[in-house]
Amino acid sequence: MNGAARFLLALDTSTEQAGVALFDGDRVVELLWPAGRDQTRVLLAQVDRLLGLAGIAVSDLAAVAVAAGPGTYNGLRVGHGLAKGLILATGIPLIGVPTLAAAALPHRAWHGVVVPVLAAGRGRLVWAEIPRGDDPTPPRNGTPVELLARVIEIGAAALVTGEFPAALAADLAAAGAAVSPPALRVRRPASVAQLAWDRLLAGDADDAATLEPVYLHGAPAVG
Amino acid sequence: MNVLGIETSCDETAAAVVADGRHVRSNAIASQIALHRSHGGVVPELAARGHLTAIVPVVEAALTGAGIGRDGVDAVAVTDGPGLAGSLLVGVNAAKGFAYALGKPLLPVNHLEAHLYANWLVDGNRARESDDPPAFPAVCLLVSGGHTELILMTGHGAYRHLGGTLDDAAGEAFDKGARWLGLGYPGGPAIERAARDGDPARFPLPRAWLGGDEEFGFSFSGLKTALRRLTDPYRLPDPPPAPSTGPFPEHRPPLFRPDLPVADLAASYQDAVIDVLATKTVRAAFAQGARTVLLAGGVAANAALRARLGAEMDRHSETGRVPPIPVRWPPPALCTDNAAMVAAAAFFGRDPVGPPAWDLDVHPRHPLGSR
Ligand SMILES: [Zn+2]
Repeated sequence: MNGAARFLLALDTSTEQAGVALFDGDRVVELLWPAGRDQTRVLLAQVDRLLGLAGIAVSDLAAVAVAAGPGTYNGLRVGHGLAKGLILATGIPLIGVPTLAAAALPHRAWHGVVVPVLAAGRGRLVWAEIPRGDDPTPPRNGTPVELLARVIEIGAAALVTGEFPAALAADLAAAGAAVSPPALRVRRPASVAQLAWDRLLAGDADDAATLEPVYLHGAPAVG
Repeated sequence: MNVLGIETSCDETAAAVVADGRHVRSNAIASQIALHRSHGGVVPELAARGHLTAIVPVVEAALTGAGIGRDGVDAVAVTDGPGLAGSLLVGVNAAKGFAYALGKPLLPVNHLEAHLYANWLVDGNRARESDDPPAFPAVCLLVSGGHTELILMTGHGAYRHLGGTLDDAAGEAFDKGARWLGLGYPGGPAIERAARDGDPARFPLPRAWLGGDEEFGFSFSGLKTALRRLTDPYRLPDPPPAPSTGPFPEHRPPLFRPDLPVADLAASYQDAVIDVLATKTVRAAFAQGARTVLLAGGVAANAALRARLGAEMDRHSETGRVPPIPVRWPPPALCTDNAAMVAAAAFFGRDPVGPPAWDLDVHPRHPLGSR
């Protein structure tokens, strides 16, 4: 790519579906992979590969964005830790992007309420509701049955996207909701990059020291 | 050569710059003791969260303190284990990002090995008897909240395990003892303070000398039970439980009658722990023909342990008509978790021009000497 271009690097390790993307306001280069629980070993190697594919160097980066959760605690720590190390070495801005907002981005034009969903581990789901042109509701955490009940309340205005079991997709469709097809349900790191890019253009970034993931409902008990 | 060390294996977020493996140019630490005190010990999830908001200011403080910019860093060393997985993740990933962006080598360091290498550090603010590096072979007593090990070190990176604890670590025994005496957290310094005015001979507490294959092994669980038995008669009933204030349970210390002989109990308890540590270390040192004895880990900051070790060394050398073996320990600030020791271990322990370890993982259960 053009050596003079300045790219934003986005990292998403919120869930077991991981990804990294480069974005310059126009062009996208991205990698997605099923990370499982092996985020630390793979993430930087993938960033290195991504920069190689795009033909750019760390010095071509204008900012680093990280998906800020909700998500698995250790997954989020991997992304935030790596992002903070890159920021410490380069001094470029750091931008945190709500993971549910990234999951909903492909359906920004939906007329009703977009319901982005994340797999929160142990069979639980996290979701938000984003009425068209409005701010998302705070994330909620519940079982698939609780999500289904809420979507039935919203009715035909609902479009559900993100990570959830195939069986739930059938139930949601049977309840009258629109269900995003699998290829569009995949959360893309390019969405994280695009949302962060808008903030970067507005001169808005986070404090690299204090930025931390969205932690839902406290945390697991003392281990 | 300036190595930037990063350490986040437990509850201290630390970064330091060390020149040529020995000269501490900066040593920045953000302690989480206050964060964990109300819980009576380290809560892993809270520790990991604390590292993530401390890591940027701590690394910046280490660079500023050393008077170097990012470009003055020649290599980045980081603890990859053993330790708490969520905590290790923060330091390892930050170190990776930093090293990658600067194009510098990334050197993983075993946390136990790092503690031993605190003995190679020359602290600019403190005059030592000798600034010569410790001589090999060295018998090392590594004592902390997580470890109690006797290790023979025959050269850089060459270790033999002589013995370890069969149950609690020495620091853990102090933490639990302090909890049973209502002395608070962390336990080692609390017991040492309380023991200052106490009579160590008043309560004869058990010492596990072990034997056979465990000649250089340790066990502190019986001691803990014995202490509890002594304090029980003074114990007052617990007040009714207060409603929970958060997802992490609060620690509620036991309540005692005011006539609990805290000072004598603390002194007797401390004596029982350090008696076994000092005696076995001196025996191991003579048995292995050591040229140096090295103390390491947070409990090495205990002045009573150092004094006992010296006395035991003199006694042993007089009885056997052999010269005493010099005993060394790091300054107190380098005994507890810090990143200067990580940078030192990286400098001596491995080839600094190896291939980049971008796929480095964390190893929460890493044994000493494993790579
Ligand atoms: Zn330690």
